[in-house]
Amino acid sequence: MKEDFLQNITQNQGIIHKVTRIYCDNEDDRKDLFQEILIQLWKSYDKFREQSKFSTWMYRVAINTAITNFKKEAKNRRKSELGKEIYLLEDEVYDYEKEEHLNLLHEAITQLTGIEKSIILLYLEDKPYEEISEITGISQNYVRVKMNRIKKKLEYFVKSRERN
Amino acid sequence: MELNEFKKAWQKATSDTVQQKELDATSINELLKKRSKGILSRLDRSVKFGIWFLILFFLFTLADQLMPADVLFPARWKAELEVPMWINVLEWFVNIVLMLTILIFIVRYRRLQLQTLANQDLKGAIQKVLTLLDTFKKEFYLSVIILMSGVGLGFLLGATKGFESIKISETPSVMAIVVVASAMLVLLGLIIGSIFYIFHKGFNLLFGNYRNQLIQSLNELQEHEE
Repeated sequence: MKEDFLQNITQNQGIIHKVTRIYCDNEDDRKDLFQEILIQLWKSYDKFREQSKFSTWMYRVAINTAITNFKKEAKNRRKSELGKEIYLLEDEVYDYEKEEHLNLLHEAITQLTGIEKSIILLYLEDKPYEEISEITGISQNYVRVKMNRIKKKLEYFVKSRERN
Repeated sequence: MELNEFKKAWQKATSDTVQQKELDATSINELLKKRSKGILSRLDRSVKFGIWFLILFFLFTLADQLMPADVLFPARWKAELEVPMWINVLEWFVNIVLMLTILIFIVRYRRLQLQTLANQDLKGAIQKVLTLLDTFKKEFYLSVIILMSGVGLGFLLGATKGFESIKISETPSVMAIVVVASAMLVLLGLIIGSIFYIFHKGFNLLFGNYRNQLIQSLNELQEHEE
C-alpha cells in the first residue's frame, strides 16, 4: 500500500506545493506544512475509497491540514512581513510584468482568510465550482458568492496599491 | 488588473516551483517518518498520555488501598487511630469517579476517529471534538472537586481524631484552639489548592491549548456562514 501511496503522491506532489505556497509566507513554514500534509495524507490513505478523484481527495486533506495549522502562519505573519519574499520567475526572458502581478497577488492573498485562500487557490487552478464545492464542503452557490467577495477584496487591494 | 492575469502569473510560477522542488519517492518516504506537529496529532498524543496517567493512577490507587502503610511496613507503622470504614469507601469512590471520567473520555475520543473524520469533514470533526472536550472539561473538574472534597474530609477527620487522641491534662484555651484550627485550615487550603492547581495545569497543558486553537480553526471555517 505504501508503494502505491508514494507513487500517487510523487505524481501529484504539485498540489501540496501549491497549498503550502498559498498558506505560508516563508520557506520554513512551507517545509513544515509540506511535511504535515504528507503525514496526514498517509494517515488517511486507507480511508480513501476512490469515491472522488485522487487529486480532489488530496486537495481536501491538504487544505484541511493547512487550515488547522493556520494559527502558526498567523503567529509568524509579522516576522514574514518584515522580510517579505519576492517571487521570481524562472523565465529565460525575464518577464517583469508577470513578476509584478505575482508579487501583487501574493500580497493580496495574505489579506484573505483561510477558507478564502482555499477558494482562490482552486480558482487559480481552474477548478470548476462543482469541484471547489466538493473539496471545501461549501455549497456551489455559496462558493460563487464567496468568489465574488474575494474578487471585490482583491480589486480593492489592487486599486489601493495603484493609488499609492 | 484582472483575475485572469493573476491566474496566468500564478500558473506559470507554480509550475516552476513544482519543477524546482519536486521530490522523489525516497525523500517523501523519509519525510513520512518524522513526527507530526499538527493540532489533531498533538491532541492524539495528549489522549495517549491520558491513558498512561489513568494506568498510573489506577496502580497508585490499588497500591494505596490494598497495601496501606501498616501492611507494607508493619514494624515501622503503628496505627494508633482506627480509620473509619466510610473513609475507605469514600476514597475508593472519588478515585473511581476520576478514573471513570478519564476512561469514558478516552473511549468517546477513540470512537470519534478524529483524524479520519477531519479529512472528510473538518468543520464537523472540530465541532464534535470541541463538544467532547467541553463535556470532558466539566466532568473532569467535577470529579476533581469530588476528589478534593474527599481529601478535605479525610484531612479534617484525621486532624479531629488526632486532636482528640492527644492526652492533655489541662483543657486548652479558646485562643489555642482557634490558632490550631486556623493553621489546620490554612494547611488544608494549601494542600487542596496545590492539588487542584496541578490538575488544572495538567488539563490545560494536555487539552486546553489545543481546544483554543481548534476554536480558532472552527471560527475560520464558520466564517463562510456569516
